[in-house]
Amino acid sequence: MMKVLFALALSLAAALAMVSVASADELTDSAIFDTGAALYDEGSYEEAARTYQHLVGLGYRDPTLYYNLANSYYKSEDMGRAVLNYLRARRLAPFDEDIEANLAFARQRIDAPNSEEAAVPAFVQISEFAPWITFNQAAIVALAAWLLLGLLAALFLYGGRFRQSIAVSRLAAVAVLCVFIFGAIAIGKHMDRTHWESIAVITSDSTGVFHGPRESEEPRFSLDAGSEIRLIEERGRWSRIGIFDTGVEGWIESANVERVLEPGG
Amino acid sequence: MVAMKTSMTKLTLLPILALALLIAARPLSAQTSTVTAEVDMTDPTLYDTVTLTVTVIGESNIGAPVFPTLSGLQITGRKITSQQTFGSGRVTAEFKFIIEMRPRHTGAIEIGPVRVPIGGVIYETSPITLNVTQGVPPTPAPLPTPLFPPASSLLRPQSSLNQGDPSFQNAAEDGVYFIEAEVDNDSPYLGEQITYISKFYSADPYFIRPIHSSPDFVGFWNPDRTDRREYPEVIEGNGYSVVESSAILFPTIAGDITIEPSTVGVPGGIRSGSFREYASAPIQVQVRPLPLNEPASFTGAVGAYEIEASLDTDSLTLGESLTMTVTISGQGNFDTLPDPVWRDVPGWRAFENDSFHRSFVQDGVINGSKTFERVLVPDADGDFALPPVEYSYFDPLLERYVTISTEEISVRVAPDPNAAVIPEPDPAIADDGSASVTDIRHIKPAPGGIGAPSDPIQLSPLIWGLGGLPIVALAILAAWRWTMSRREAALLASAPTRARQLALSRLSGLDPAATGADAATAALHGYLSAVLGRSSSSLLITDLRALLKERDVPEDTLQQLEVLLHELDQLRFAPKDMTDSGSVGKSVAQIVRRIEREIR
Repeated sequence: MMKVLFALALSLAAALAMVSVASADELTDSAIFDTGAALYDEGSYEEAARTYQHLVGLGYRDPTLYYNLANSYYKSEDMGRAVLNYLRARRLAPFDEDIEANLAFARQRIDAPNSEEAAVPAFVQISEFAPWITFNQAAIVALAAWLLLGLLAALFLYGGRFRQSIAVSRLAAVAVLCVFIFGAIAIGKHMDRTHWESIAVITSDSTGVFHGPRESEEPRFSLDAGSEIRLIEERGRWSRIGIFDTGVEGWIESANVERVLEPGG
Repeated sequence: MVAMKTSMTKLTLLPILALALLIAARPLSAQTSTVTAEVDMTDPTLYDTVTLTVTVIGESNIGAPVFPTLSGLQITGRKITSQQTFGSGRVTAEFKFIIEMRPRHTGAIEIGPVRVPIGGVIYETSPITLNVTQGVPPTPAPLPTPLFPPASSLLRPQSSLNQGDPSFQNAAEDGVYFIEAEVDNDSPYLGEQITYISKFYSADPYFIRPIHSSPDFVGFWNPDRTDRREYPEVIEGNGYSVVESSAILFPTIAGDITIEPSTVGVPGGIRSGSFREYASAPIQVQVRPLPLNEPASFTGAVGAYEIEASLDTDSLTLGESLTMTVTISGQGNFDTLPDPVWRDVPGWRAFENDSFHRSFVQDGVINGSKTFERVLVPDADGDFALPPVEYSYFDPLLERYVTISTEEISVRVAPDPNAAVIPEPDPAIADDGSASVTDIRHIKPAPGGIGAPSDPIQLSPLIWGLGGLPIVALAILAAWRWTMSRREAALLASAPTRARQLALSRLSGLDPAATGADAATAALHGYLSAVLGRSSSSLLITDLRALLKERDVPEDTLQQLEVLLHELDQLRFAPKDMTDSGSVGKSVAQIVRRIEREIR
């Protein structure tokens, strides 16, 4: 019995290691990250932003990276991308005080509509309590616990001397708990993606909001860079957006807005 | 009939009311307001059209501009564009008043300053001087030859060509047909409704419906409310069929405006294949500007109106929004009815949401209503009184401005129970090292390295396959177990028959010289044990009877079995020479067969 459990634990550890294994390139990329920090410290904010953005372009999705990138944009007076990347950072680290403080500060400065009123699904709130676990890790742990549960069920029902064993029952209870907890986290992480896919930030100054997807008329009103909006629909080069706490909707050119959730984010 | 004027010497452009100003209601910051005037050319010829563009940019309370007297210029068109910008908590409005003019004489013509009141301050533009030269008339481009000649180029009676004749009395006639036109008010106020009526008279008994063409009504807003009716009329003893067309108009510029003639084309007959066109005289309307003492809440409405306001809810939670609906109803031009001046509501953010209107003609006057919706979002909880919405309009009948107002509306905003506390930026760790200046917090190192790129795996077939593995494995295991139990049951069901065969086989091989009673007893108990599924030798005779009785073995058989067992017990302890093995074996075989037949 102990051998079986040991083998399972080893498999689980190997699976987790595969998910978060470090590549050789990461060492180089860490140096790039440090270069960005050095540029920021010497006041070359636009250069720092380009450096951090390069890492994002390589596929890194890290709250500290987004936070530093947002700071660089903020210092470069690009308030739209500053707010955008603070939101990206907060999505990955919802309880980080620095991110929260800088986001609030940036919002206060631009005084534009924000997404604080956006309803967050319950599963997403659950998953926020385990920000250090990625969707992949939660899914793999839940899957491993599920496989273990299947094995224990087979042992409990047909397992000879393990049949109806108390030890097997206890282990099965632990496996059920793991399935529920990590399954809920994985579902929350997945729903979190759906939630953030609909939130976007205006990145261009004085973006006109029109009644329909056309420029033939006067805009209803304009939104400043950094305005957080709800992305409802995309049609060609136009996007239908809504302002969170008002129900006001309109159309803007898609080039003036970016989703908080990046591909692969 | 109206008086005619052939020249336009003075033209005063005052507030262009109907399409004017949609202003947000925040207190004005005078430094952010600008008023500029420019023309697209300063050295035009008599044949050029000069465009004057007045641009007004301000945050709120932009009044209607007052244009100077444009001597020596004839207005040929006008347009207003507007744009609002929402940003940094402010609404900024930009209006462009575009006037197209044609010089009426050569030499210097001055366009005086345009005055625009913004937030109680009068802004003036610089005067502009035009140097007009004679120029040469433009050469018209050659037109393609039409397949059919236009009506105006066809044979026209002399009477319809006398528009330049001073004796022309606003009617064209040739005895059989004539047309006349009039307006019900030739000196309306700017934005006041007038009705243009043209009447076509026909004394032709073979009257054919004419082809009517209305003027373009340049300088008027025409809401396309044209009415047409036909009726007979007797004039000086002659009977006429009259086709009357009426159009509702709202003047959009002040000064003398000429309404071009209405024309009617009458077929000249099947044989002739031609048209005769009849034209009314042009009509001049002297549009009076509105008085200059307009109230602050006047945004350009002319007519007679009422106002009311309502909310979709009078209690809400912080974080929610409410919709205020303001409806203005009455008589006037609802197509262009401007917004009220939206005042800033302390503690609330306001967003324009939608506006819509409906209108209808009653007794020749446009009636209707226009509804404005605004979304209001509270910034704090508590009890609020939304201030009244004022609306001012110019009543042309009373010849004065009238201000109407809604009632104050009370709203209760409950605190948000789920409100999150947003931490204040910590000045102690400001970027510049100063404790007194707030700034964003500094960048951070990544102690454990930055997160590696990874792709979500939720759609991987391997994951789904592994997830289903336990269920499939358990199902296969359960199916295997079920099959095995079925086989075992079948084996058990065939046990009595096999036991009988075994017992009979043992009996047939019984050696008479040996201990026959022991062998017969063993054979019988072997059979009974197989039938009952338990050892019969350890059972009391009463228990054995009960078990067999449960399996429907009759009482007489049980009695015979009991006797036989008793006899076997005796024989087992009797001397060997007294034992009749053949008889005992025969009895055992007989009882076995009997039980075999009767047992369930």
